[in-house]
Amino acid sequence: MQTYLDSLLSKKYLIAALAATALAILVSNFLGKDYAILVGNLTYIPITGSLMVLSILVIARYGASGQHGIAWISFGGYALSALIAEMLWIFQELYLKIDPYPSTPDIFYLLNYPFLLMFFIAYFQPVRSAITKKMFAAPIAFSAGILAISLYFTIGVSSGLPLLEMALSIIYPTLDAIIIIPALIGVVLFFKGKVNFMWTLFCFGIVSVFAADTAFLFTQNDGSYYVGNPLEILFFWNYILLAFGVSNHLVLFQKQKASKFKEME
Amino acid sequence: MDTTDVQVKKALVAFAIERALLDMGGPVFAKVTKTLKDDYGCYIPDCYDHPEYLKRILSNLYGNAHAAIIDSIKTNLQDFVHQAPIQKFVCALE
Repeated sequence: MQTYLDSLLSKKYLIAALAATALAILVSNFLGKDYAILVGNLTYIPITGSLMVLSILVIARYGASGQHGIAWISFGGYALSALIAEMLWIFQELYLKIDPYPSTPDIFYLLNYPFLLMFFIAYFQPVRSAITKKMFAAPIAFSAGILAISLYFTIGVSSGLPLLEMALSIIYPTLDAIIIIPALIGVVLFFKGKVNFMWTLFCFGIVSVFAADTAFLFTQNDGSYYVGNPLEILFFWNYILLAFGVSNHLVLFQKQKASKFKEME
Repeated sequence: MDTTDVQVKKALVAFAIERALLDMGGPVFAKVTKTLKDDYGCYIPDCYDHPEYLKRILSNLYGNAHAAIIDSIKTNLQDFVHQAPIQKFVCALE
């Protein structure tokens, strides 16, 4: 009963966080583009900051113990590189007043992917024998399908752009498509288990960032992009979904009180 | 089978379970231990007599992937499966 209540409460806060972010962006757009740029940039600070704090907490909980400890250290690397990338972007856009794309933040955005992939591999390591070849079929088909759609949109508007921007238009959707595969496998693998809630949130988060990257590259390449535009909501949702996934895992594997250990002895 | 023999086998099974869970992470071991205590009032060595408790907890926690954790426990016990009580424990986990 308590677990069911916890789960409901956790979903209530999740929905509230998703709705509040969407509302803030939509209202700021209604007030004007300058407001949207300011709100869009500043909203990244608490969201990526929260993800970083939760990652530190989960790393502190697991330490370097076992494969899941390694997985969460990798996830911490992801959270850190995401935080650095967003802070660099904000610094360049709001303080230096220069267009941050493509530039240094992209190095850190690209670093996110190997860290996330390391997280997936390490988390799956103890249960690798449950992963069958059949499990790959549907995720690969889904990933290839949405990659084709994404490349159709991003490459279509990237002709005539500098080589780096053209390359990034291909690299981002391809890397998104790669990390969607283990995320979907995770949902199938842990289906019916309590850890599945985290995997479902991670999966939605990655699908969200895939759609956001496609929209970003499309609008960036045709010159209509600005931080805080309504499509930016998907980037925020990615971080929020991941943060709530980590939070759910922290609650599930929370530390026992010392007295209970003594009682066991 | 005398009492000492049962105790040795319980310790062996407990060691195999602990090793499999600690390979995943300390908090995973702590969570399983706590659930065993809270739901059944027993500890890891008691899984020797009640493997179904462990199976249910792993299934609740990891869903479809619980079979892989059970495989890992079986692998840790593979040198002793020729002994009837250990084989019975392994079969009950499946």
